[in-house]
Amino acid sequence: MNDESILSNLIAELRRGTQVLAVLGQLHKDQYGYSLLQDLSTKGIKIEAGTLYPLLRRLESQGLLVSQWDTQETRPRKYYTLSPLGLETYTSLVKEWQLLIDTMNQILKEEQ
Amino acid sequence: MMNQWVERYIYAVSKKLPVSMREDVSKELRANIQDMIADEPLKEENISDILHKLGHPNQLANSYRGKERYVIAPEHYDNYISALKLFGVIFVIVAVTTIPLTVYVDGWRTVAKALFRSLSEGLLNTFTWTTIGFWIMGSWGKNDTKETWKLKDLPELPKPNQRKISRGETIFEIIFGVSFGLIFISWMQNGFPFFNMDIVRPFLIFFYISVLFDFCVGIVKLIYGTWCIPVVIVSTIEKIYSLIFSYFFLRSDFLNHEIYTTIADNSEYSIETIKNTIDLSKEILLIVIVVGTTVSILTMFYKVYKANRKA
Repeated sequence: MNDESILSNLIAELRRGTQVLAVLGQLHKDQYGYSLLQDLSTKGIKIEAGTLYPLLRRLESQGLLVSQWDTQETRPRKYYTLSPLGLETYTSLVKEWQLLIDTMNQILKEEQ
Repeated sequence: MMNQWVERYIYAVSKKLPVSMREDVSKELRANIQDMIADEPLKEENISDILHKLGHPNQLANSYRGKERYVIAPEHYDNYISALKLFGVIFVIVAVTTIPLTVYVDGWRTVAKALFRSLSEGLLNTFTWTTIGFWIMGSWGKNDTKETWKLKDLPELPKPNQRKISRGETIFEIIFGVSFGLIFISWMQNGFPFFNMDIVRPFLIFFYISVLFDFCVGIVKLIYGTWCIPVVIVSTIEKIYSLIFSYFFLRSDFLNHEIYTTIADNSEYSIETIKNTIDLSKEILLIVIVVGTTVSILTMFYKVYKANRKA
Protein backbone atom coordinates (compact mmCIF):
# COMPACT_ATOMS: atom_id res chain seq x y z
CA MET A 1 0.00 0.00 0.00
CA ASN A 2 1.52 3.34 -0.99
CA ASP A 3 1.11 6.69 0.76
CA GLU A 4 -1.53 7.87 -1.62
CA SER A 5 -3.79 4.89 -1.10
CA ILE A 6 -3.36 5.16 2.66
CA LEU A 7 -4.55 8.75 2.46
CA SER A 8 -7.47 7.95 0.19
CA ASN A 9 -8.50 5.08 2.48
CA LEU A 10 -8.48 7.38 5.48
CA ILE A 11 -10.52 9.99 3.63
CA ALA A 12 -13.01 7.33 2.57
CA GLU A 13 -13.30 6.19 6.18
CA LEU A 14 -13.93 9.74 7.40
CA ARG A 15 -16.60 10.21 4.76
CA ARG A 16 -18.24 6.90 5.50
CA GLY A 17 -18.91 8.03 9.04
CA THR A 18 -20.78 11.07 7.81
CA GLN A 19 -22.78 9.35 5.09
CA VAL A 20 -25.55 8.03 7.32
CA LEU A 21 -26.09 11.44 8.82
CA ALA A 22 -26.18 13.09 5.41
CA VAL A 23 -28.64 10.51 4.07
CA LEU A 24 -30.95 10.73 7.07
CA GLY A 25 -30.87 14.52 6.78
CA GLN A 26 -32.19 14.36 3.23
CA LEU A 27 -35.07 12.06 4.06
CA HIS A 28 -37.47 14.36 5.82
CA LYS A 29 -39.35 14.12 2.57
CA ASP A 30 -39.93 11.07 0.36
CA GLN A 31 -37.04 10.29 -1.95
CA TYR A 32 -36.18 7.43 -4.25
CA GLY A 33 -32.67 6.11 -4.71
CA TYR A 34 -31.60 8.12 -7.72
CA SER A 35 -33.21 11.42 -6.65
CA LEU A 36 -31.41 11.13 -3.34
CA LEU A 37 -28.15 10.40 -5.11
CA GLN A 38 -28.49 13.57 -7.19
CA ASP A 39 -29.56 15.63 -4.20
CA LEU A 40 -26.52 14.56 -2.26
CA SER A 41 -24.14 15.14 -5.12
CA THR A 42 -25.44 18.68 -5.81
CA LYS A 43 -24.86 19.37 -2.12
CA GLY A 44 -21.30 18.15 -2.46
CA ILE A 45 -21.67 14.86 -0.61
CA LYS A 46 -19.66 12.22 -2.40
CA ILE A 47 -21.37 8.87 -2.15
CA GLU A 48 -21.28 6.08 -4.68
CA ALA A 49 -24.53 4.70 -6.07
CA GLY A 50 -23.29 1.26 -5.11
CA THR A 51 -22.93 2.44 -1.51
CA LEU A 52 -26.12 4.45 -1.26
CA TYR A 53 -28.63 1.90 -2.50
CA PRO A 54 -27.61 -0.86 -0.10
CA LEU A 55 -27.30 1.72 2.70
CA LEU A 56 -30.95 2.73 2.25
CA ARG A 57 -32.04 -0.86 2.62
CA ARG A 58 -29.89 -1.33 5.68
CA LEU A 59 -31.31 1.77 7.37
CA GLU A 60 -34.77 0.51 6.54
CA SER A 61 -34.10 -2.88 8.08
CA GLN A 62 -32.83 -1.09 11.19
CA GLY A 63 -36.18 0.66 11.38
CA LEU A 64 -34.83 4.16 10.72
CA LEU A 65 -36.51 4.47 7.34
CA VAL A 66 -39.80 3.36 5.93
CA SER A 67 -40.29 2.65 2.27
CA GLN A 68 -43.12 2.46 -0.17
CA TRP A 69 -43.34 1.38 -3.77
CA ASP A 70 -44.96 3.87 -6.08
CA THR A 71 -46.30 2.08 -9.10
CA GLN A 72 -48.39 4.97 -10.43
CA GLU A 73 -45.61 6.42 -12.57
CA THR A 74 -44.24 4.87 -15.75
CA ARG A 75 -41.29 3.51 -13.80
CA PRO A 76 -42.05 1.96 -10.44
CA ARG A 77 -39.95 3.60 -7.71
CA LYS A 78 -39.25 2.82 -4.14
CA TYR A 79 -39.59 5.88 -1.94
CA TYR A 80 -37.87 6.16 1.41
CA THR A 81 -38.59 8.51 4.27
CA LEU A 82 -37.64 8.83 7.94
CA SER A 83 -39.62 6.76 10.41
CA PRO A 84 -40.43 8.23 13.84
CA LEU A 85 -37.49 6.24 15.20
CA GLY A 86 -35.36 7.55 12.35
CA LEU A 87 -36.29 11.14 13.15
CA GLU A 88 -35.45 10.62 16.80
CA THR A 89 -32.16 8.98 15.90
CA TYR A 90 -31.37 11.73 13.44
CA THR A 91 -31.92 14.44 16.09
CA SER A 92 -29.62 12.66 18.52
CA LEU A 93 -27.01 12.11 15.83
CA VAL A 94 -27.05 15.79 14.92
CA LYS A 95 -26.40 16.72 18.55
CA GLU A 96 -23.58 14.20 18.67
CA TRP A 97 -22.21 15.62 15.45
CA GLN A 98 -22.16 19.18 16.83
CA LEU A 99 -20.35 17.94 19.89
CA LEU A 100 -17.85 16.11 17.74
CA ILE A 101 -17.19 19.15 15.57
CA ASP A 102 -16.64 21.36 18.62
CA THR A 103 -14.27 18.88 20.19
CA MET A 104 -12.40 18.28 16.96
CA ASN A 105 -12.07 21.99 16.23
CA GLN A 106 -10.75 22.53 19.71
CA ILE A 107 -8.16 19.78 19.28
CA LEU A 108 -7.11 20.95 15.84
CA LYS A 109 -6.79 24.56 17.03
CA GLU A 110 -4.55 23.52 19.91
CA GLU A 111 -2.32 21.58 17.56
CA GLN A 112 -1.72 24.66 15.46
CA MET B 1 -29.91 -5.39 -26.30
CA MET B 2 -28.87 -2.51 -24.03
CA ASN B 3 -31.32 -3.71 -21.44
CA GLN B 4 -29.80 -7.14 -21.71
CA TRP B 5 -26.63 -5.84 -20.01
CA VAL B 6 -28.67 -4.27 -17.24
CA GLU B 7 -30.59 -7.50 -16.72
CA ARG B 8 -27.39 -9.50 -16.68
CA TYR B 9 -25.92 -7.13 -14.14
CA ILE B 10 -29.00 -7.36 -11.93
CA TYR B 11 -28.94 -11.13 -12.25
CA ALA B 12 -25.25 -11.22 -11.28
CA VAL B 13 -26.03 -9.24 -8.14
CA SER B 14 -29.25 -10.96 -7.15
CA LYS B 15 -27.97 -14.49 -7.49
CA LYS B 16 -25.50 -13.75 -4.71
CA LEU B 17 -28.26 -12.60 -2.38
CA PRO B 18 -30.45 -14.55 0.02
CA VAL B 19 -33.65 -15.59 -1.72
CA SER B 20 -35.77 -13.45 0.57
CA MET B 21 -34.13 -10.24 -0.71
CA ARG B 22 -33.73 -11.16 -4.34
CA GLU B 23 -36.96 -9.96 -5.86
CA ASP B 24 -37.20 -6.66 -4.07
CA VAL B 25 -33.53 -5.76 -4.55
CA SER B 26 -33.76 -6.61 -8.26
CA LYS B 27 -36.83 -4.46 -8.68
CA GLU B 28 -35.29 -1.51 -6.86
CA LEU B 29 -31.95 -1.87 -8.60
CA ARG B 30 -33.68 -2.01 -11.97
CA ALA B 31 -35.65 1.16 -11.20
CA ASN B 32 -32.53 2.97 -10.00
CA ILE B 33 -30.44 1.91 -12.99
CA GLN B 34 -33.18 2.97 -15.37
CA ASP B 35 -33.32 6.35 -13.64
CA MET B 36 -29.57 6.66 -14.09
CA ILE B 37 -29.79 5.64 -17.73
CA ALA B 38 -32.67 7.99 -18.49
CA ASP B 39 -30.32 10.98 -18.39
CA GLU B 40 -27.92 9.55 -20.94
CA PRO B 41 -28.17 8.45 -24.55
CA LEU B 42 -28.59 4.71 -24.80
CA LYS B 43 -25.13 3.56 -25.79
CA GLU B 44 -23.09 0.63 -24.67
CA GLU B 45 -20.34 2.80 -23.17
CA ASN B 46 -22.88 4.72 -21.12
CA ILE B 47 -24.47 1.54 -19.82
CA SER B 48 -21.04 0.26 -19.00
CA ASP B 49 -20.15 3.51 -17.18
CA ILE B 50 -23.32 3.45 -15.14
CA LEU B 51 -22.91 -0.17 -14.15
CA HIS B 52 -19.29 0.50 -13.24
CA LYS B 53 -20.43 3.35 -11.01
CA LEU B 54 -22.44 0.77 -9.11
CA GLY B 55 -19.33 -1.36 -8.81
CA HIS B 56 -18.55 -5.02 -9.34
CA PRO B 57 -21.74 -7.10 -8.97
CA ASN B 58 -20.18 -9.21 -6.22
CA GLN B 59 -19.12 -6.08 -4.36
CA LEU B 60 -22.62 -4.64 -4.60
CA ALA B 61 -24.14 -7.93 -3.48
CA ASN B 62 -21.78 -7.90 -0.50
CA SER B 63 -22.99 -4.43 0.47
CA TYR B 64 -26.60 -5.50 0.17
CA ARG B 65 -25.99 -8.53 2.34
CA GLY B 66 -24.22 -6.55 5.02
CA LYS B 67 -21.56 -8.09 7.18
CA GLU B 68 -23.17 -11.46 7.70
CA ARG B 69 -21.04 -14.41 6.77
CA TYR B 70 -22.58 -17.58 5.54
CA VAL B 71 -21.55 -21.18 5.81
CA ILE B 72 -23.79 -21.79 2.83
CA ALA B 73 -23.47 -19.08 0.23
CA PRO B 74 -26.86 -17.47 -0.42
CA GLU B 75 -26.78 -18.39 -4.09
CA HIS B 76 -26.62 -22.06 -3.12
CA TYR B 77 -29.05 -21.94 -0.25
CA ASP B 78 -32.15 -23.22 -2.12
CA ASN B 79 -30.18 -26.04 -3.60
CA TYR B 80 -28.66 -26.82 -0.23
CA ILE B 81 -32.06 -27.22 1.39
CA SER B 82 -33.45 -29.35 -1.41
CA ALA B 83 -30.27 -31.44 -1.50
CA LEU B 84 -30.55 -31.99 2.22
CA LYS B 85 -34.16 -33.10 1.98
CA LEU B 86 -33.42 -35.23 -1.01
CA PHE B 87 -30.37 -36.99 0.43
CA GLY B 88 -32.33 -37.62 3.60
CA VAL B 89 -35.23 -39.20 1.71
CA ILE B 90 -32.95 -41.22 -0.55
CA PHE B 91 -30.96 -42.42 2.41
CA VAL B 92 -34.03 -43.60 4.31
CA ILE B 93 -35.47 -45.28 1.23
CA VAL B 94 -32.25 -47.06 0.41
CA ALA B 95 -31.88 -48.14 4.03
CA VAL B 96 -35.44 -49.45 4.12
CA THR B 97 -35.33 -51.21 0.75
CA THR B 98 -32.20 -53.07 1.71
CA ILE B 99 -33.86 -54.43 4.87
CA PRO B 100 -35.34 -57.55 3.24
CA LEU B 101 -31.91 -58.43 1.95
CA THR B 102 -30.10 -57.98 5.24
CA VAL B 103 -32.87 -59.82 7.07
CA TYR B 104 -32.40 -62.67 4.68
CA VAL B 105 -28.69 -62.74 5.34
CA ASP B 106 -28.39 -61.88 9.02
CA GLY B 107 -31.72 -62.46 10.76
CA TRP B 108 -33.98 -59.98 12.52
CA ARG B 109 -32.28 -58.94 15.70
CA THR B 110 -29.00 -57.78 14.18
CA VAL B 111 -30.94 -55.99 11.49
CA ALA B 112 -33.05 -53.96 13.91
CA LYS B 113 -29.93 -52.91 15.79
CA ALA B 114 -27.93 -52.18 12.67
CA LEU B 115 -30.80 -50.31 11.09
CA PHE B 116 -31.24 -48.04 14.07
CA ARG B 117 -27.54 -47.32 14.15
CA SER B 118 -27.16 -46.82 10.44
CA LEU B 119 -30.22 -44.57 10.25
CA SER B 120 -29.06 -42.26 13.00
CA GLU B 121 -25.45 -42.23 11.86
CA GLY B 122 -26.41 -42.05 8.23
CA LEU B 123 -28.71 -39.09 8.64
CA LEU B 124 -26.08 -37.25 10.61
CA ASN B 125 -23.50 -38.07 7.95
CA THR B 126 -25.85 -36.94 5.22
CA PHE B 127 -26.28 -33.63 6.96
CA THR B 128 -22.58 -33.17 7.64
CA TRP B 129 -21.36 -34.06 4.18
CA THR B 130 -24.02 -32.10 2.36
CA THR B 131 -23.18 -29.06 4.44
CA ILE B 132 -19.45 -29.48 3.93
CA GLY B 133 -19.98 -29.98 0.21
CA PHE B 134 -21.98 -26.81 -0.15
CA TRP B 135 -19.62 -24.91 2.09
CA ILE B 136 -16.73 -25.82 -0.19
CA MET B 137 -18.81 -24.95 -3.22
CA GLY B 138 -19.57 -21.55 -1.70
CA SER B 139 -16.03 -20.66 -0.67
CA TRP B 140 -14.65 -21.66 -4.02
CA GLY B 141 -14.17 -18.84 -6.54
CA LYS B 142 -15.97 -16.56 -4.17
CA ASN B 143 -15.71 -12.82 -3.80
CA ASP B 144 -14.05 -11.99 -6.98
CA THR B 145 -14.45 -8.23 -6.81
CA LYS B 146 -11.96 -6.95 -9.33
CA GLU B 147 -12.16 -3.26 -10.08
CA THR B 148 -11.72 -3.80 -13.78
CA TRP B 149 -14.45 -5.86 -15.29
CA LYS B 150 -16.26 -5.76 -18.59
CA LEU B 151 -19.90 -6.10 -19.52
CA LYS B 152 -19.00 -9.38 -21.15
CA ASP B 153 -17.90 -10.77 -17.78
CA LEU B 154 -21.48 -10.64 -16.52
CA PRO B 155 -23.11 -14.05 -16.29
CA GLU B 156 -25.59 -15.03 -18.98
CA LEU B 157 -29.22 -14.93 -17.99
CA PRO B 158 -30.70 -18.38 -17.48
CA LYS B 159 -32.54 -19.42 -20.60
CA PRO B 160 -36.26 -19.62 -19.98
CA ASN B 161 -36.86 -22.18 -22.71
CA GLN B 162 -34.08 -24.56 -21.76
CA ARG B 163 -35.43 -28.08 -21.44
CA LYS B 164 -36.40 -28.81 -17.86
CA ILE B 165 -35.46 -32.13 -16.32
CA SER B 166 -38.38 -33.58 -14.43
CA ARG B 167 -37.55 -33.65 -10.72
CA GLY B 168 -39.88 -36.53 -9.95
CA GLU B 169 -38.44 -38.65 -12.71
CA THR B 170 -34.89 -37.98 -11.58
CA ILE B 171 -35.67 -38.81 -7.95
CA PHE B 172 -37.30 -42.03 -9.13
CA GLU B 173 -34.22 -42.84 -11.21
CA ILE B 174 -31.87 -42.23 -8.32
CA ILE B 175 -33.85 -44.25 -5.80
CA PHE B 176 -34.36 -47.23 -8.05
CA GLY B 177 -30.91 -47.06 -9.60
CA VAL B 178 -29.19 -47.01 -6.25
CA SER B 179 -31.33 -49.53 -4.40
CA PHE B 180 -31.43 -52.08 -7.23
CA GLY B 181 -27.75 -51.54 -7.90
CA LEU B 182 -26.89 -52.20 -4.28
CA ILE B 183 -29.21 -55.19 -4.00
CA PHE B 184 -27.74 -56.66 -7.15
CA ILE B 185 -24.19 -56.15 -5.93
CA SER B 186 -24.74 -57.70 -2.54
CA TRP B 187 -26.50 -60.56 -4.24
CA MET B 188 -23.41 -61.17 -6.32
CA GLN B 189 -21.14 -60.76 -3.32
CA ASN B 190 -23.00 -63.46 -1.49
CA GLY B 191 -22.33 -65.79 -4.40
CA PHE B 192 -24.59 -65.82 -7.37
CA PRO B 193 -24.90 -69.42 -8.59
CA PHE B 194 -24.80 -68.61 -12.32
CA PHE B 195 -21.68 -66.49 -12.07
CA ASN B 196 -18.08 -67.54 -11.96
CA MET B 197 -17.11 -65.64 -8.83
CA ASP B 198 -13.37 -65.71 -9.52
CA ILE B 199 -14.01 -63.66 -12.63
CA VAL B 200 -16.83 -61.53 -11.28
CA ARG B 201 -15.19 -60.51 -7.98
CA PRO B 202 -12.65 -58.07 -9.47
CA PHE B 203 -15.55 -56.42 -11.30
CA LEU B 204 -17.46 -55.69 -8.09
CA ILE B 205 -15.64 -52.44 -7.41
CA PHE B 206 -16.64 -51.25 -10.90
CA PHE B 207 -20.25 -52.12 -10.16
CA TYR B 208 -20.00 -49.94 -7.06
CA ILE B 209 -18.47 -47.10 -9.06
CA SER B 210 -21.27 -47.47 -11.55
CA VAL B 211 -23.93 -47.07 -8.83
CA LEU B 212 -22.05 -44.11 -7.38
CA PHE B 213 -21.79 -42.55 -10.82
CA ASP B 214 -25.49 -43.00 -11.40
CA PHE B 215 -26.21 -41.34 -8.09
CA CYS B 216 -23.93 -38.38 -8.87
CA VAL B 217 -25.49 -37.82 -12.27
CA GLY B 218 -28.91 -37.78 -10.64
CA ILE B 219 -27.80 -35.21 -8.10
CA VAL B 220 -26.22 -33.00 -10.77
CA LYS B 221 -29.49 -33.19 -12.73
CA LEU B 222 -31.46 -32.16 -9.66
CA ILE B 223 -29.15 -29.28 -8.86
CA TYR B 224 -29.21 -27.79 -12.35
CA GLY B 225 -32.74 -28.84 -13.27
CA THR B 226 -32.16 -28.27 -16.98
CA TRP B 227 -30.25 -29.94 -19.76
CA CYS B 228 -27.35 -27.53 -19.51
CA ILE B 229 -23.70 -28.17 -20.37
CA PRO B 230 -22.54 -29.54 -16.97
CA VAL B 231 -25.42 -32.02 -16.88
CA VAL B 232 -24.72 -33.17 -20.41
CA ILE B 233 -21.01 -33.59 -19.71
CA VAL B 234 -21.56 -35.59 -16.53
CA SER B 235 -24.20 -37.79 -18.16
CA THR B 236 -22.01 -38.40 -21.19
CA ILE B 237 -19.06 -39.44 -19.03
CA GLU B 238 -21.33 -41.74 -17.06
CA LYS B 239 -22.75 -43.33 -20.19
CA ILE B 240 -19.31 -43.85 -21.71
CA TYR B 241 -18.14 -45.38 -18.44
CA SER B 242 -21.07 -47.81 -18.44
CA LEU B 243 -20.34 -48.63 -22.05
CA ILE B 244 -16.70 -49.47 -21.43
CA PHE B 245 -17.59 -51.36 -18.30
CA SER B 246 -20.31 -53.39 -20.07
CA TYR B 247 -17.85 -54.20 -22.84
CA PHE B 248 -15.25 -55.64 -20.50
CA PHE B 249 -17.79 -57.41 -18.35
CA LEU B 250 -19.68 -59.03 -21.21
CA ARG B 251 -16.45 -60.01 -22.95
CA SER B 252 -15.20 -61.72 -19.79
CA ASP B 253 -16.03 -65.32 -19.04
CA PHE B 254 -18.30 -64.34 -16.18
CA LEU B 255 -20.75 -67.23 -16.42
CA ASN B 256 -20.31 -70.34 -14.36
CA HIS B 257 -19.48 -73.19 -16.75
CA GLU B 258 -21.61 -75.59 -14.76
CA ILE B 259 -24.63 -73.82 -16.12
CA TYR B 260 -23.75 -75.08 -19.63
CA THR B 261 -23.69 -78.67 -18.43
CA THR B 262 -26.88 -78.21 -16.45
CA ILE B 263 -28.71 -76.90 -19.49
CA ALA B 264 -27.19 -79.57 -21.71
CA ASP B 265 -28.29 -82.27 -19.31
CA ASN B 266 -31.84 -81.01 -19.39
CA SER B 267 -32.13 -80.44 -23.11
CA GLU B 268 -31.26 -82.06 -26.37
CA TYR B 269 -28.59 -79.51 -27.28
CA SER B 270 -24.89 -80.12 -26.99
CA ILE B 271 -22.70 -78.09 -24.65
CA GLU B 272 -21.02 -76.59 -27.72
CA THR B 273 -24.30 -75.28 -29.15
CA ILE B 274 -25.38 -73.83 -25.81
CA LYS B 275 -22.05 -72.10 -25.35
CA ASN B 276 -22.23 -70.63 -28.84
CA THR B 277 -25.78 -69.44 -28.32
CA ILE B 278 -24.87 -67.76 -25.05
CA ASP B 279 -21.80 -66.14 -26.60
CA LEU B 280 -23.91 -64.89 -29.47
CA SER B 281 -26.50 -63.42 -27.08
CA LYS B 282 -23.70 -61.68 -25.20
CA GLU B 283 -22.49 -60.15 -28.48
CA ILE B 284 -26.00 -59.07 -29.41
CA LEU B 285 -26.54 -57.59 -25.97
CA LEU B 286 -23.29 -55.67 -26.36
CA ILE B 287 -24.38 -54.27 -29.72
CA VAL B 288 -27.73 -53.25 -28.25
CA ILE B 289 -25.92 -51.46 -25.42
CA VAL B 290 -23.55 -49.67 -27.80
CA VAL B 291 -26.38 -48.53 -30.07
CA GLY B 292 -28.58 -47.58 -27.13
CA THR B 293 -25.86 -45.51 -25.47
CA THR B 294 -24.92 -43.77 -28.70
CA VAL B 295 -28.53 -42.89 -29.41
CA SER B 296 -29.11 -41.56 -25.92
CA ILE B 297 -25.95 -39.43 -26.01
CA LEU B 298 -26.92 -38.03 -29.39
CA THR B 299 -30.47 -37.25 -28.23
CA MET B 300 -29.07 -35.43 -25.23
CA PHE B 301 -26.78 -33.28 -27.37
CA TYR B 302 -29.63 -32.60 -29.76
CA LYS B 303 -31.83 -31.39 -26.88
CA VAL B 304 -29.13 -28.97 -25.71
CA TYR B 305 -28.46 -27.79 -29.25
CA LYS B 306 -32.15 -27.11 -29.83
CA ALA B 307 -32.54 -25.23 -26.53
CA ASN B 308 -29.53 -23.04 -27.29
CA ARG B 309 -30.53 -22.30 -30.84
CA LYS B 310 -33.98 -21.08 -29.87
CA ALA B 311 -32.63 -18.72 -27.25
